[in-house]
Amino acid sequence: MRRLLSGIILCTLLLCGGTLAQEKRYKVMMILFRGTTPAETGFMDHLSSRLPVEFLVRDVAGERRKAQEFVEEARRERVDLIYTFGTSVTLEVVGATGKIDPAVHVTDIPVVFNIVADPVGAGLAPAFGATGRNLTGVSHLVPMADQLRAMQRFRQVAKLGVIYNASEPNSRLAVAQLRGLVGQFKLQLVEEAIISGPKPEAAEIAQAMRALIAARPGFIYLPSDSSLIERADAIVDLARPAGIPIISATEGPIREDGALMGLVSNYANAGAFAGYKAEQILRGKETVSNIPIETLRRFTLVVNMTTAVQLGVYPPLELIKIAELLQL
Amino acid sequence: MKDLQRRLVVLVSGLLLLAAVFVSYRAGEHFESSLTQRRLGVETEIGRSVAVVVEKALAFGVPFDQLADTERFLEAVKFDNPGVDYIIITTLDGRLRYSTDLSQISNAAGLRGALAAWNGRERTAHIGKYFNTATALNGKERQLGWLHLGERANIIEQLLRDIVFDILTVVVVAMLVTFELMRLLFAATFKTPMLAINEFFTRIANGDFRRTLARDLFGGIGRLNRSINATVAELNTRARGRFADGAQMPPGFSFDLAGERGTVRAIAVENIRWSFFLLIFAESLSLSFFPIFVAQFYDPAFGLPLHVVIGIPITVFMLAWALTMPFAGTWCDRVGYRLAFSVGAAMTTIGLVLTAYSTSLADLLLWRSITAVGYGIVYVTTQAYITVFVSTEEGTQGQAMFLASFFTGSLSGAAIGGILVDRLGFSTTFLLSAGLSATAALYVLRALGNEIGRTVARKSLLLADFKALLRHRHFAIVTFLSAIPAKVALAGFLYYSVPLYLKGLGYSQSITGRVMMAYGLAIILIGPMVARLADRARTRRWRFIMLGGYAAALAMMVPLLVENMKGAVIAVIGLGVAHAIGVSPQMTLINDRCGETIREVGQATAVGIFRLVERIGTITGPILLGAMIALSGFMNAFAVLALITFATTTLFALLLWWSDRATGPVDIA
Amino acid sequence: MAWLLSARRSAPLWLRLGLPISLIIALAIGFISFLNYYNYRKTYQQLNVARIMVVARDLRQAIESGLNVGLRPPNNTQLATALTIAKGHTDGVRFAVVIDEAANKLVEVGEAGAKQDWLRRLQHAGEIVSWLGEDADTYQVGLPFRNSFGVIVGAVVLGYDKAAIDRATAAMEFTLFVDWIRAVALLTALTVLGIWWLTRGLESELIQAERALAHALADAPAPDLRFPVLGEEIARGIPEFIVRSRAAAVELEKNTSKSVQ
Repeated sequence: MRRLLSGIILCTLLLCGGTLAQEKRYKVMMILFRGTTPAETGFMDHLSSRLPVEFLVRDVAGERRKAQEFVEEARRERVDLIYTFGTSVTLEVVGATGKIDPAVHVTDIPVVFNIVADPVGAGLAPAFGATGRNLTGVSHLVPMADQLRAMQRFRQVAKLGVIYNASEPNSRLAVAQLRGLVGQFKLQLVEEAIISGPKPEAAEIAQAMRALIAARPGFIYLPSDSSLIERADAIVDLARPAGIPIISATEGPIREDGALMGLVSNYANAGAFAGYKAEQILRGKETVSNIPIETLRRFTLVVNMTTAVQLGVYPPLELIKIAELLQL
Repeated sequence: MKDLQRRLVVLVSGLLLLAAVFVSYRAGEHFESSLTQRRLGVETEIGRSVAVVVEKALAFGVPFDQLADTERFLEAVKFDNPGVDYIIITTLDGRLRYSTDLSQISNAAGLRGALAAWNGRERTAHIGKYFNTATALNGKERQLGWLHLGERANIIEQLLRDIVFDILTVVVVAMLVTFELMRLLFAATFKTPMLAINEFFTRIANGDFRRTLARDLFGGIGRLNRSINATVAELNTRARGRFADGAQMPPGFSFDLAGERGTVRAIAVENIRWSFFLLIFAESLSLSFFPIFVAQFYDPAFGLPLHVVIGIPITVFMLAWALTMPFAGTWCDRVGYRLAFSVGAAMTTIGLVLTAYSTSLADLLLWRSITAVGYGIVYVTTQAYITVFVSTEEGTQGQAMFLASFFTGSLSGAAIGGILVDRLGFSTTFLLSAGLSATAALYVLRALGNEIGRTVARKSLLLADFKALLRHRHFAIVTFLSAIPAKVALAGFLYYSVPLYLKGLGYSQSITGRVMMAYGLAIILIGPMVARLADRARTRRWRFIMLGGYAAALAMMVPLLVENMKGAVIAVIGLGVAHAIGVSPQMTLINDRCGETIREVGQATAVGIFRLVERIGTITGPILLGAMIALSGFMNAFAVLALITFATTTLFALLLWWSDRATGPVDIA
Repeated sequence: MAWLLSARRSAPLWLRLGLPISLIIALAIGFISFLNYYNYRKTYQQLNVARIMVVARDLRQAIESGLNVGLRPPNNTQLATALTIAKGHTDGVRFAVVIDEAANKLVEVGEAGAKQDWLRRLQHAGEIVSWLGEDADTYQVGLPFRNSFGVIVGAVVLGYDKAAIDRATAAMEFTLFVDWIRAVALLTALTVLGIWWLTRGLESELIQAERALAHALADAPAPDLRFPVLGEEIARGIPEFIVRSRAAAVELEKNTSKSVQ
């Protein structure tokens, strides 16, 4: 009913004044989680350089329930598109597949999400690709296969260790993906889980690391898990005497804590990609239900050369050519 | 004289080859330094690009000795740049530290030694078979090593190898054209005046002082004409003086009293042969690019696919050409060879000029028809002329000469045309063709006398003429059991199937063109030689036709035995040899055995009719082969064709042998 | 006497034969030189392209690496350095320019001419990896680059000096032409000389024959001619002609004297 009404009003507007349509400024609402990140900057830069857009920026500031207010505002303002940041906000706005409540969730306005690590695991879509509903978006994570490929190009290893926090979905996701790829990459996976909760103690981490190191893996994988990333310096310091390099899913530990390498993506680029999808929707080039959920296609290989020198583990020249080398 | 001619031919061929080699060698020398420099420029950039990566690693603290996976990186660079033969990284004192695989490098040990002794002053150097480019590898504070890139120093070799076939083609064509020209020059300088003088002397020996010799333009033996004429003129003047005084003529002598000055002229078929060659050459210039030329007039609005539309002008040409020939023959019998040829060549000229300016498909078809009519007239006229004016003892050689001229012109024209059109464009090339064709017309007007064939001239072509010939046993046997199958093989196998077959194997069009040339070369080179043997065989000339037929059948079986390109080439050459043996005697045989009928019908008419009926083979060949290939593939089609040829040849031989048994061999004095 | 006359009126045999043949040889080697030149030119240009392409590829990779970390070309200082080095250290490079997908210049080192076809190239880029182009004074190599989600967002274009290359190939053209003239001169001389040499015998026999024929009606005895080149027939035929002609002359005299009587 609501859709029909909006449709009639839109048509009338178009019929009444063609010039109105030409000078139309698109309205995009952005519902953020904790303020503006480079992802949003990338999104806004991309869109505003291509279309006349008015951004309504709203921040739940950590309180996911607040998203509901903004949804209602979006409906009132009749925005053309909604941008959401992060898994929790997106779930609040559009709901998980199969659990959509039209009263609460947005079903008639296109929604483009960004910086969602695991859209499938979160229930936003059954798989990557087109969702068939008013949802599309960008996952900023680098596909695990690409990361492992980068790792093997760096140094062929037979055994990979992974430390993860069992209570964090991102961690569990990473481990699940690793398990699924051991056959393809001919790896033996050694797992050590932190089970105490979202804020693990240093001692627990040290114990997990010692167990991992004892297994003598070629690399230790550090997932995109904030609870572990906070302790990255400890993790790296424990591994270094044993000469075991750390591969990190995010850039921070490499740049700041001495992890050796990682294949990372860039928030701004993810934002630009989301903006690209938004542009297609707003221009009418493609409907939101047909635009696939994707990751970026090109990533950056980051290598901490100080660590490399310390460990005596050097990147092959092929990678040196294209990598981002850090010396700290 | 023959000796002299042979020596001149050797001289000219030798000079031509010498010239070609000399010019190409010099060109290579000129190219070497500038192209090598360019090549080294590329190597320098590659070296710099690699050095940047290595220095990046060194700058970030990787020790020189521990650069990781360097070999793989160098191999990747080498792979991306096929001109590079090796990449070597040495320490500062020249020890080899990392390199690509050196197993294929000639004298790797010598290379290592040279690099060890590298003094760093020259950036590029010639080491053994390679050019070596060096780039410094700098660490944080000082140079740590050298990066050496090597490429084989044979760039010119590679360059020339690319065009060696083109150069060969030009040399072959130049030789063919030179030989044609030389034949003409020799005939005009030596043979023709010699014949004229000898005939004149014979008349003089019989007391006939009435004629004079033609004015000589070539400065050869004809120089004697002047002195001879002077003597005869003197005698005639005296005779006229005496006659005016009322005296009687001495018995046994006759003089030119009325002052008519009739000329004795020798007939040299070389004249018409050269013009014929020029014309065929002119028309063939467009052979290689004609489909592309037609394609530019294509409009999807025609409703027909492109390749069908392209085929239409070619079909129209063939049809017009074929249909013209009998009519042209009768006309030629009536008006004489000189006029017929000139008019035919003129029509071709006009047709070519108009083709150069055609603006639509309809235009093109019209002009091509005109060209084809002219072509047909010239073709029939030339063959008839040769048939008539070459003695029966040398009949087959005459026919072989005709075919050789045709193929020389066709081959040379196609080859040169392809090269020209790239630089000059369609219109200019057509106009050039027209110019050459006009030259042929003018030359014939100048060089041919008003000879009319020694046959009865008919008013116009009658159906009865066809019937008369076709009903003649020997005509039918030769035409249907030898000539037509040969044309089926030519059009169906050579022109239609072989290009398709080679294309299916993945070969480019230029390679296909070269393979096809082999057929023409066989005809040109072997035809005249074999024809001499055939003429010596006289009454048993038909055996050569039989031999040719079997050889053709054998040739077409070859692709079934030898695979791929090799099989195709052998088959094409084999077919060329087979036709060189078997096709020339066909016309001779017809002349020998159907002499009466031919005299009734007219020589040129007979030629025209023969050629037209022969076209049945040219037309059905591709269709037949196309159907067979579509039904059961190339190999089976070739086998069937070979079988058909075998069968018709056998029948031909049997019938002829039986006919000879029955009536006794036809004696041709 | 006779041969003097004929020599004055017409060019000698060896020349008449030699010149047409020399012409064909000249054309043939002209063609070959033509082919050689075109091959040279093609290779020369290809080598230049290859050289510039090495540099251009590295620049593109630098741009794309920058994009990966969110550095757009104008903000990528390493890129600016690389472009400057490219122009400064690569022979013949006039400019190195990075453009965006609307063909606006983002970074420019050196000077590119105003009118370029870059926008059209970008719009029809499709899947191509590079294009080759030119303007009035440069040959150009253009490499489109893509952002991290695979969309073409610009290109790096290097332009190198046209005049130098055209000069070099024109110089080679001239060199080959001069060579051709030299070869033609040499070969014409050789051809004509060779033909002269080979036809010497013929020439002298012709002179003999002419001399004999000039005195056909004179009183001198009929010559005994041997013509190894011209052949038996003429060697016999000329004396027979002379004999016959003299006989005719005698007969004509006889009649006269008869009639007078």
